[in-house]
Amino acid sequence: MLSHSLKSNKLDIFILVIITIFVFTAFILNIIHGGKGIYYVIFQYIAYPIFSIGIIYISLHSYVGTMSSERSKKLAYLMFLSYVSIMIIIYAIIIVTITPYILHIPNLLGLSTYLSSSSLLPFVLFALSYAVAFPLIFSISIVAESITYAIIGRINAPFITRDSNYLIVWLFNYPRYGGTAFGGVYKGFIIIRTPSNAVDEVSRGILVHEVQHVRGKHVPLVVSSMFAVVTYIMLTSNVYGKYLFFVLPFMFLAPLVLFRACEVNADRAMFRTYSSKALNYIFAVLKSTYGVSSTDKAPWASKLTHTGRRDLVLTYGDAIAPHAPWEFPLLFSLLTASVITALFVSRADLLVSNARLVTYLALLTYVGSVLGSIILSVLLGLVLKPIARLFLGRTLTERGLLNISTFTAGLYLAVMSFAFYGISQYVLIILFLLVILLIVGYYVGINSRSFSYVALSVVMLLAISFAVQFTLVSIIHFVRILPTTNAYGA
Amino acid sequence: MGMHIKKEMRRDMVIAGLALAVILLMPTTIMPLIAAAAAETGIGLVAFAVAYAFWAGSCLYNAYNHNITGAEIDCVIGFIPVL
Repeated sequence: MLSHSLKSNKLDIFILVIITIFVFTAFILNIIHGGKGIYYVIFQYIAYPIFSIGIIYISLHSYVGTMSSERSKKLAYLMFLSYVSIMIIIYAIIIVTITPYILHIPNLLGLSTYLSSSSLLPFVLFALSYAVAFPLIFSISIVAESITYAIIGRINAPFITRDSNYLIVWLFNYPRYGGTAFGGVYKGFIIIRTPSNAVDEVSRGILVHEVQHVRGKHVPLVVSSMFAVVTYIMLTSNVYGKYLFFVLPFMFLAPLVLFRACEVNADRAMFRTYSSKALNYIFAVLKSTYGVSSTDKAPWASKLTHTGRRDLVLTYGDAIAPHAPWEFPLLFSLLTASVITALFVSRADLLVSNARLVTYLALLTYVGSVLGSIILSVLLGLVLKPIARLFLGRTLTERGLLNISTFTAGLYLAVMSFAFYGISQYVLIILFLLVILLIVGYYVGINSRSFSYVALSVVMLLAISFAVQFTLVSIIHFVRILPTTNAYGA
Repeated sequence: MGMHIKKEMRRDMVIAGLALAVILLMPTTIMPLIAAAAAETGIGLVAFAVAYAFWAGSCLYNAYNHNITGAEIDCVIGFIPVL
């Protein structure tokens, strides 16, 4: 599909190549000249805007060019692109405007001197960027949806639901099955593609999947978590702080995991509506789109966003099983490692004056902490697995049991690692309990068995923590006694 | 069915026990020692092979060239790295 669109738009590609060469040259010259003088002006005010506009133009043009020539199809996809573009443009304008004011909040609270010396700064900005991105994107989504809705009222397109106040569904005749959904806060929009020019059984299944994306507000959710990264970079670029970037790997991975969770959520809605038939609908879609007959044989890009084992949720309704076994340990280890590294850097700065050595050691600490946390999360998850089987064995599959226990263990480590900053452990335990209850309630349902699982696993984790501490303390005690008796003995 | 679950549960409990043992041994010197010993054994074997090959090679080279002084030095002093 992509190669077809590229061949049909040779002029676009030529323009793109010329623009890219120009922008790249300006970028390199700007760096060589230290971001000063005429090269800075050329890059910042000519090359960069041209590049941005060019990218938007080419992507719009190529994408619409892939559709057949019917006017309404082009319009529907233009609606989707305009929705996304409106959100990006408004968000960029707002965030650039309000960043100085956000950064002024610590000054108003009298926390600026504390924060500038504390290694907690990255995490304050981290929490602040999520707190800004989510409400802002949801509000902007309402604006973008209203504009899209106002335009749609004026065009003639094959709607299924024209009269609904909330949901608008387009149906297109297309060689392959497929669906797209966006919006959902104020108005929801769905595009369905089907080979038969009618709402057949498979496209009805796709419709359920996409309606769940709209009802769950999945697009604003994932876009918010993506824009939290942009906000964090905006906030930290104006702040003097050390090693603010160690939390970025976690922030980059979180939207992807959230995206996968949203897709699994939509698949679960299909399972709840059609039970065992749901898998056949997805098989029909995969067969027509990629020519494969099983979910784990789909192309890499599909498996990345829609998970490889979505048959587990479509067959058993187990929404945590499709996630990869390493997914949650990796995600939470990135957060744990960033907490440990930020703390390490703040300590090392007091002891070592060589900044390069500190950077080198911090990188080593980060990589080591990620690996160590992954190992520890998996091991703790294996310890929790019998508890999960005891209480959740009837609702979750084998893979789901492993995933929920590694999720619990990874989250426990990530939350409790903030105790290094002197935050009360009781507060952290309550925070962990609240989050894990929400998660287990989402995957298993809020009932006595999920409460028992959470209670017993927390007791187990605390017992292991005390046991590890006891081992450590006794060893330190044993090691310390020997030189003392030698030094002062006899 | 009941029997089946029991069997899986027993397997899970054994794995959990092993995982717990590894976690508890992590802060002690035992796990780092095992890890270090494993790494040392691997590196040691490679280092021994290299040193032995170098020693044997230099001794043979000196013997081939009838270099008595060189053979004495290399074969005696050169054996120290092998040790």
